[in-house]
Amino acid sequence: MQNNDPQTIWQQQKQQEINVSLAPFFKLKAEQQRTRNRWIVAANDFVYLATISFLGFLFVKTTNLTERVGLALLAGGSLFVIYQMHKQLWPPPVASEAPPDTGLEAYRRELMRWQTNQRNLWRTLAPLLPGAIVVAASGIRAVIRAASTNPAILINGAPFCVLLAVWLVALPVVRKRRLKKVQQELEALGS
Amino acid sequence: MSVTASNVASQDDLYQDAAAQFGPALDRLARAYEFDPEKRRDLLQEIHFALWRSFATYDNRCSLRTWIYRVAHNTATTQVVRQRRIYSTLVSLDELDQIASENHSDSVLASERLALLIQKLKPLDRQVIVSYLEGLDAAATGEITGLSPSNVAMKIHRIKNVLSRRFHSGATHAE
Repeated sequence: MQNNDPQTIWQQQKQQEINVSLAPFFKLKAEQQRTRNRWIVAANDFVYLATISFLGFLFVKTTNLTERVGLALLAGGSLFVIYQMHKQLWPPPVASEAPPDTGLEAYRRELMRWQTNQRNLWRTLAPLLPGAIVVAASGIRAVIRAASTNPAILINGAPFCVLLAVWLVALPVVRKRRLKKVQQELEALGS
Repeated sequence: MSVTASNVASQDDLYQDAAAQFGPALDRLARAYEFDPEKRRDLLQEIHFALWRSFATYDNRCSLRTWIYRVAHNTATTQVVRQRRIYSTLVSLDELDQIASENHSDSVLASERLALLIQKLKPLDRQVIVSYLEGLDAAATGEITGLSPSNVAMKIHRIKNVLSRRFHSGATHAE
């Protein structure tokens, strides 16, 4: 006769064959984690340095003053973003003498961390905005000038512009809906 | 990690004891969060790693069981939130009862159906249901989750109702 008691079903389920690793392995894993973080920092720095080098190359190549200003602003913004990302990757150590948080505290903390990261994402990327606007404005002006002699350029660029517009409209809506849901969850936890 | 020499031995010993005593329970806990065997294996290893790391500061201020369950649930909850599952399809216990029971084939084991049901829940409700299934009382569950005993009792009452409808009335589905 089969047993339908959920507690029995749960406690008698077949165990997964997992070789529970010993402490020395964990020490190695902790070291690997630190190494991985260092690599992430190095990779981030490399990408930004490559970007800044590319911006520098464009800066030297162009003779247009507006473009040069935009590129300089983008490079400055990129440096600021690197600095911000470094700060986020190496958070200040927290006091670890207390017992682990309760499930409620840990869940609330994770939700708040997610919420803060979402809000900070825009603040982190904001320094890139002025430079991007100046460079984009300069590019758009060049495209319009070229389109006056060859209108096909505008038709070819239309799909990209439509996709960009849809993305720009949809992204804030989706983001706002997610933030609202997490906020509701936080409020429910607080009550 | 700054662990003193005398600390290291006790940290390792505590971990060995905890793994021996609560290993099967931690395995089941991982099933409540991950269905995919590979992801579950990774989560279980993360839990064990978090546990070993946490024992560097274990000071008997709460029971070993509470400590272990808190660390394990917190590790798994962090994974749920970071994988952005929180704003997708997870439901509360109240909502769970309104979701139509899925028609599983006979080949789906009762334990798997149970795990799938738990994985639909939001992290805090998941912690309560896992504690209940592990046979912990309301006081112990409250200590782990930080919920008041009355809140835990209310949630357990709902859990029992849901489980009784899904597993006793649906006995034909069990293996």
